[in-house]
Amino acid sequence: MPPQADPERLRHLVDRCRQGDGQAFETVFHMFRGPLYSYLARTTGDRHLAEDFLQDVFLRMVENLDRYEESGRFQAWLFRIAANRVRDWARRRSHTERVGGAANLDSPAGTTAVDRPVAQSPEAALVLNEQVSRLEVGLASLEADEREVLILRHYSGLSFREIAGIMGAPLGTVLARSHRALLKLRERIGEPAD
Amino acid sequence: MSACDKEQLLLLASDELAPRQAAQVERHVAECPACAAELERLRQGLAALDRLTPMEPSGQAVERTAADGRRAVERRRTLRPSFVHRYRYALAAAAVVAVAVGWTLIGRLAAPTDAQLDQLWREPVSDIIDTDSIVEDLAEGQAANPWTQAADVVIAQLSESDLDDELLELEESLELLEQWSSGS
Repeated sequence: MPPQADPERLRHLVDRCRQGDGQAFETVFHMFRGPLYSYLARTTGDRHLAEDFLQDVFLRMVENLDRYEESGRFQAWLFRIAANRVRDWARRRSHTERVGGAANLDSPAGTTAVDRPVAQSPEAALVLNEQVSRLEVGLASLEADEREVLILRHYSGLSFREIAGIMGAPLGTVLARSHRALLKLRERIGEPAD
Repeated sequence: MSACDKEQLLLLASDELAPRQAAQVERHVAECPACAAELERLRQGLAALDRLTPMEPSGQAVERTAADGRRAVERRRTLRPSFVHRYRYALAAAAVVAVAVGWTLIGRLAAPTDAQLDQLWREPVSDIIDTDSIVEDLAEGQAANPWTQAADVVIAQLSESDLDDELLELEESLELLEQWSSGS
């Protein structure tokens, strides 16, 4: 779920942060902590690591507030910090050690009680949980770069063009990667035919 | 879009095309069953992702990060304002201009004026061709004053340029003095 933030209000909050307003920082933190944490947890596959990275991201945000150029969207800048953090971590790990994303989170199904969506009836809950489980498994089966671009887009709400900027890749590359990932995901979760 | 374009289909599925472009792609999709099927699969993939629910960090992590971040932000109050950083490019440009202007001024102040150059040139010349002094020395029969030799050199050099009548007369006078001093 991408964060919904009025750009004008956000600009005002960032200005207040620059001037040392701790309350403004807390507002920004609570606005973005969920989507950022979700992105970090699903790309690293490790909740505790994601919590550490979350703190890193917000502290780096504060350190670099004066460098934030307001020509781009604030969330693009914030998610870039997060993506760079993940990239630094991934570079230090070998490909074989890299976790398979969501499927390695707390439970075998990759979700916890906190994550599981609420359904109206037991039967609906069963169906929903099954769908979510297949989705998690489907995501976990993607290549790391394919999974990252889908997760980043989903949680940040940014455009593919902005995501290409964050990942430092050409737009065509990001689109090709996303296209491939979405078709794979759709096939693996077994969505009904047209 | 006259040919099947996967990137355009994806951008259409994610609502990232401008209205005119979107209409163009939709027209193609209406005529191309393969693209229509692919567009639908892409939309289903994107819709499936909507089932991903947001995850939350632990309460402890939230408190810790909020507190650390707040402290870091409040420390900024004691730092100098970001005036220098915000206007860094303008300040750098102003510094370059100031150095250039200063350099020019220093150059102009340090350089001698034409009048000064003239003075510098004439003073040694007038010292060298102090005829009274030369005549006195010669009259007393002393050894040739080095200044007379220097005067010869200077006058010889001066004679190559436009000289005024006084310098020419002086040269003639010195020659006469030399002859007199040698007893010829």
